[in-house]
Amino acid sequence: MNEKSLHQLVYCSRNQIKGTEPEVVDAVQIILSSARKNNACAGITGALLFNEGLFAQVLEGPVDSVEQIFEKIQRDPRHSDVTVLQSSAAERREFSEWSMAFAARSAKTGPGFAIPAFGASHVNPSLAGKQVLALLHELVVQEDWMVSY
Amino acid sequence: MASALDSLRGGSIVFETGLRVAWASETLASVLGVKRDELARGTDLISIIRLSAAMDTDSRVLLESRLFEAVERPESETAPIKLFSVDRSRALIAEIRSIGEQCWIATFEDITDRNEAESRLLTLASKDPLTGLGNRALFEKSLRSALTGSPEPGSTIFILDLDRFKAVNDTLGHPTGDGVLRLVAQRLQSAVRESDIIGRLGGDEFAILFGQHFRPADAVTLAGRIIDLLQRPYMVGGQVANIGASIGIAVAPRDGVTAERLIKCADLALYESKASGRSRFHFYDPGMEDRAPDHPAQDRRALELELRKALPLRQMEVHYKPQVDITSKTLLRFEAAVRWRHPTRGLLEATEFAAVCTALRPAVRVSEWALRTACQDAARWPGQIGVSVRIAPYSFEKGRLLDAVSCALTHSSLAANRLEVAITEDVLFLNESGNENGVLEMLHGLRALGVRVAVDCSGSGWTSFRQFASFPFDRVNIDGSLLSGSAGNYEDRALVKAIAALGASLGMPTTADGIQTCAELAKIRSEGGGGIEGYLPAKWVGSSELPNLIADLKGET
Repeated sequence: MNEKSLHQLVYCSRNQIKGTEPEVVDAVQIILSSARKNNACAGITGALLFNEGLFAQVLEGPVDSVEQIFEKIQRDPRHSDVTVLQSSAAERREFSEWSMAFAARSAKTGPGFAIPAFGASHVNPSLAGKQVLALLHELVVQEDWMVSY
Repeated sequence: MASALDSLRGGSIVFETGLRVAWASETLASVLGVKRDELARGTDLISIIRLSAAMDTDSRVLLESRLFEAVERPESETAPIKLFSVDRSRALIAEIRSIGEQCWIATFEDITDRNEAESRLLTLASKDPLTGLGNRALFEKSLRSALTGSPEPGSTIFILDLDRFKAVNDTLGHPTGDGVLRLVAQRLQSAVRESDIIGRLGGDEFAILFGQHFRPADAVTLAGRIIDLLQRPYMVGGQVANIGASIGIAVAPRDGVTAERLIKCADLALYESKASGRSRFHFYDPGMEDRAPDHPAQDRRALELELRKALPLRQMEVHYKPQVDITSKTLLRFEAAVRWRHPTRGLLEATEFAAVCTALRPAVRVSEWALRTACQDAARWPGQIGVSVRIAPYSFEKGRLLDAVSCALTHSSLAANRLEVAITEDVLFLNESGNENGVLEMLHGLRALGVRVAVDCSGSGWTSFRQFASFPFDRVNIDGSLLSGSAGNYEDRALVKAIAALGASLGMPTTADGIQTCAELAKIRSEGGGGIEGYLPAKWVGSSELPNLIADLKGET
């Protein structure tokens, strides 16, 4: 693949999946597994963070594929209020595999990452990737910047 | 010659500059449904088309635009077009060709009986090539047959119009705008049933016809869903575009039983949605008739059509404002701006007519014409007086600007260093959206032609100041809006200082519109405005007043 056309897109959106926390986690697991399957074919890698209120996602890959996946994501009713935080050409991939993190807000799980897929997988994002994740994590955990749902 | 052309079961007409009739064949009057003496030599072809009973409104509009296109660009080949009579019982094929210097022929062939040709052409002529959706004619045809075909009530139409689409076209470029329109069409298709019919009415206007079993409650749900869907971000060619959509809804038979009436009702409801803050939908209600001005959507289309004719009809003018240095009192150059002397609306500024036009092609042509005219005018001015022409961002499409500038210089024989091309900071914003090389290449290309390159800052795109440093501009101009009022507000003053300081640090001369006096200039300088320069207050004048004005200004210095 021509890595010259690599593109990185970061967005966040409002989670419209209703249910208890485990139900939401299950629903997101389903999204993630279908994403893994589809994205591998399209040469897309990235990361998905969520809590019961928000999604935040990084997509990286050839610009055409990122466009197609992004357009598909736009038509998904399971989220709304999409805000693109960054869209730019990238020199290299920050995530070599798909990864997911669950950032909880509730007192039960405590603050910070509970990372069902992230920690369990063999993924080891680069430093820059970690920075993107840290940024998204901040967004997801401190969601008071968004109108509360 | 006449008999050979007439044997086509049609007629033909030869016309000259200004769309004046030079000759019309014997049979043309009956083909177009006009009186023989209405085709007399010297008659305005457009007025004949207006009289013709052989064409409905869409056909007339199409034919008129093709005629203007043929006259404006004689070298271009135009495909035959199909014209329908008002009741759609008859069809004509029209073809326009250049047959000599400032001379064209339009041939009309009656093809009503050629069923095969008709169905083939109808399919071709009814698809919008960009989105693959049906066009206005096909949508209206579907609506007509839905309204006549079934006695069951409930045919519902949505008319939707994109919000902020023009800004996308202007800042991200026409190709990106086209990409967004394609995605809009796809999102609409993903939201409706297969039996529902979507059409692109033109520009950024779409319509949906819902078939049976569609209740008002469905309309509410779906309108909300479509507004949400269309206002989600679009990604095209690596760039992200944000637009919105407003919807007007009309329901048969409650609001009307004809296609024309129903579309009009939905248009009025759409206007209500736009006027009440966009990203909304409204059902038609009779009270809207009083609230809306006469038909905004049609109004806009009419203005767009008139804009196409403005150049051939010589309604465009270039006006000038002298830039006289406050300190030295030297006349440096004239700023040029295009004005439209509209037959009924009066003298319009570029922002007034560009804002209502979704079709960019005529607008681009107008700005290229203005550039040429300004250079021709400037070539006649004495000494080294320069001219500064502001270029709109969309002119940056595909190297077109460089061609236009070098053409204007060649034709006018104006020394390149007397022309200043002023871009707005939006163009630098194109940089940030991933188009970086294109814009910088363009700026360097302009520099290579020997023209001055200036940038106009109004503060709106100031976030892109990093790109601002990426090109050595000959002049950085601070827009008058930042200095308007006696003091300007605090942020604006801070911005003026920042721009001036940045300009100075990069070695770019900085000027400001709206500095009225030496005292004011001194004040801005003392506040940290460094080497900022200002101009004496001046008015815009037409080119005929320039010789006197130049003599006066020269006399004063």
